[in-house]
Amino acid sequence: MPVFVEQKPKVSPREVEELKAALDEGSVVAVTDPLGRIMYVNEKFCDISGYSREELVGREHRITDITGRKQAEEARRSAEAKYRRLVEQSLVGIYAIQDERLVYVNPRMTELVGFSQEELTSAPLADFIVEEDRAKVRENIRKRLAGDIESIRYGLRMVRKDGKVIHVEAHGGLSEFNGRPAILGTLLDITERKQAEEKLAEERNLLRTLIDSMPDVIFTKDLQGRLGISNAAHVRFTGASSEAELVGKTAFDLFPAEVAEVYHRDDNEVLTSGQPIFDRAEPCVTREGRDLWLMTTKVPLRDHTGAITGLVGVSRDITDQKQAEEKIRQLNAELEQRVIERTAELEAFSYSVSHDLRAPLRAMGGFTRMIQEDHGAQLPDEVLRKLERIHLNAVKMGQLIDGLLAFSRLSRQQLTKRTVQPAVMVNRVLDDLHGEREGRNVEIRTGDLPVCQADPTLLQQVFMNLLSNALKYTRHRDPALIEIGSREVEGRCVYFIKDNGAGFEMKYAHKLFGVFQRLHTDEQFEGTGVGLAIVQRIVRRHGGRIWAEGEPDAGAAFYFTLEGEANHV
Amino acid sequence: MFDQDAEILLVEDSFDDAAFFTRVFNKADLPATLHVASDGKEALDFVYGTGGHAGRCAGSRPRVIFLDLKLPKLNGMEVLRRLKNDPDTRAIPVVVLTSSEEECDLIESYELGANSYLVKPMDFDRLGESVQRASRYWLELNQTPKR
Repeated sequence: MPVFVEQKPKVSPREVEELKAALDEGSVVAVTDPLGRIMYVNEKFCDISGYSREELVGREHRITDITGRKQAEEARRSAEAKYRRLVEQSLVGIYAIQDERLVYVNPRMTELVGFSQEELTSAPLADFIVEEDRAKVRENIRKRLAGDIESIRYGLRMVRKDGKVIHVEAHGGLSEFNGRPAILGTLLDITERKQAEEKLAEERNLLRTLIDSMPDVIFTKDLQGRLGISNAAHVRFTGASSEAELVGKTAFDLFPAEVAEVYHRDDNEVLTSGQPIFDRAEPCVTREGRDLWLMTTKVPLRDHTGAITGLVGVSRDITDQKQAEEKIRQLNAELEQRVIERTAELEAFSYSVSHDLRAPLRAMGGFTRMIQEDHGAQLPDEVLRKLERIHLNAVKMGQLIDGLLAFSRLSRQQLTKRTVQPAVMVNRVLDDLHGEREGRNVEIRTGDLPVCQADPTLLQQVFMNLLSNALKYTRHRDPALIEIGSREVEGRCVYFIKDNGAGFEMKYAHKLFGVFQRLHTDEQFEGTGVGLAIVQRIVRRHGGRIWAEGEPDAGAAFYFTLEGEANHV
Repeated sequence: MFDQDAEILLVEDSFDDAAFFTRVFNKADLPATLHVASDGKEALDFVYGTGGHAGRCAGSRPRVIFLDLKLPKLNGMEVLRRLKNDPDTRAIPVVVLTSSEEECDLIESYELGANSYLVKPMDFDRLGESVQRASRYWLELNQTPKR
């Protein structure tokens, strides 16, 4: 109830001041003059009436309306309810602490820690905090209560009722609760965020360990070519003491200008085109002047919008590999040189064989012939027969040498492939062999012989050798049958020459193509044993294959291809 | 018709081959005299009338030279080169008579100006035949400018 004091004129100003001071402490007070006009009001009066002191002084106190005050009270009550509702419904935990105890918690707080409001407010605060964090919390509360700091925001770990530890972030400040100083604050569960951070840290650690354990140099650069991340190998490679030392450096800080220039160009290529460079082998010179070879891959780095923000580079030191390659190249060159030298030696050898071995043979044959001619009349038949044997053997050895030379010449002869018509070739060969057929009953069947790619001279030699063999080994047949033809096997043309001659045992088939290998005696069928070796070498030099089928006294068949086998001799 | 004083030069280092050649040449009864030089140097001396053949009438050129390739001192190719590079001797027919069937020898011989290339047959009988036929051709059929 307001108290109205009527001022008496005799009261001194000092008494008034004292009275004012006294009244300010108490209830609602207004002082009026005898006419009822307000001369003074205390704070409480202003509060309750809802008017300011200036508005009240000089006015008739009886007409003072207290509607304003009621409205204010109403507003306050409504605001309080509103705030209470906010607090109760808040998604963050809200608490008040006094005397190291929670004195108020909102429902969200109870959800966060799993304890009821009663449980939370009835035990010491420390009980809900992980032991290691208790000192920190106590200290933070003290600081705020002492007024050292106004508010604080920090992370701590709390223990839920189910024993689970949760990470929370507290944001509290000094306030009042129930008329006494209290810490009023909010609490946010940041466990998920913490876990995400930890996971991120783990991943980062994993990646870091990975790139640091790579023997390859790994680095990132920004759009200006400045280094960002460098792995351990890069730090070692550049001779830096740490990754930090490299951050912000460019190629020009690390390499001689001419090398840096190349890297800079590559970087720009990747950054402007957005196209990665893969496995580019580049020479490199370190600042110490060491020559290296690096195999570098550079890939653009993009942000979430796809814009290029820099590049990742991976470089491998391939110096050893390059040196090995160089060594192989040198060895190959040396080998090539040696082959050339050996070939030259071989050529010199066959040259001297052709000259030097023939002369004495000719002499043996020649002098034998001279003895026969000059002294034949005086010599016994037995001696003449033996002289004839010497002469024939000298001739035979001459043929062997000629065959060997022809065979060795073949490998040195250039192979010039052209489109040839085997049918025409076969006719020409048969014409040349006309003498062999004279007086004999020889039936020759020529089938389809497709056009092919071959060296004409050499292929003609093949047909010549095979056909003269066929004629030779059918010498005792009447009629002799020789069939020349082809058939397609697995997309390849196989030429064949078959006869009904002496044939051979299949178990000796592999010996047919060896130099000087013969399956018959000279008395049966003369020959040097070089013809088929030459045929095989020609066929192989064309990339083809030759094989034979036969049966004693039933004939032989020779088959060959001119392509498709990767067997070059 | 041929000169009765026609000369044939055989350049051959092998005594045996020279003997065979001489034998078959003589047997053929050709109207010419056979001279044998056993190395390249002697061959040139014979042609130019120098060295061991000094005093030989430089005006008489052999009607044909049978030239082996593998020779001591100066090899057959070199002899061929000198003869064919000299306008005075260029017209003398040179028949290479060798054991070599090497393509490279054939090519080089003709490049240097050889007039013919014969491979010595291994067989004595065929050698005789070759020598006789070739000599007859160069002596009886072939014409060279009168100097």
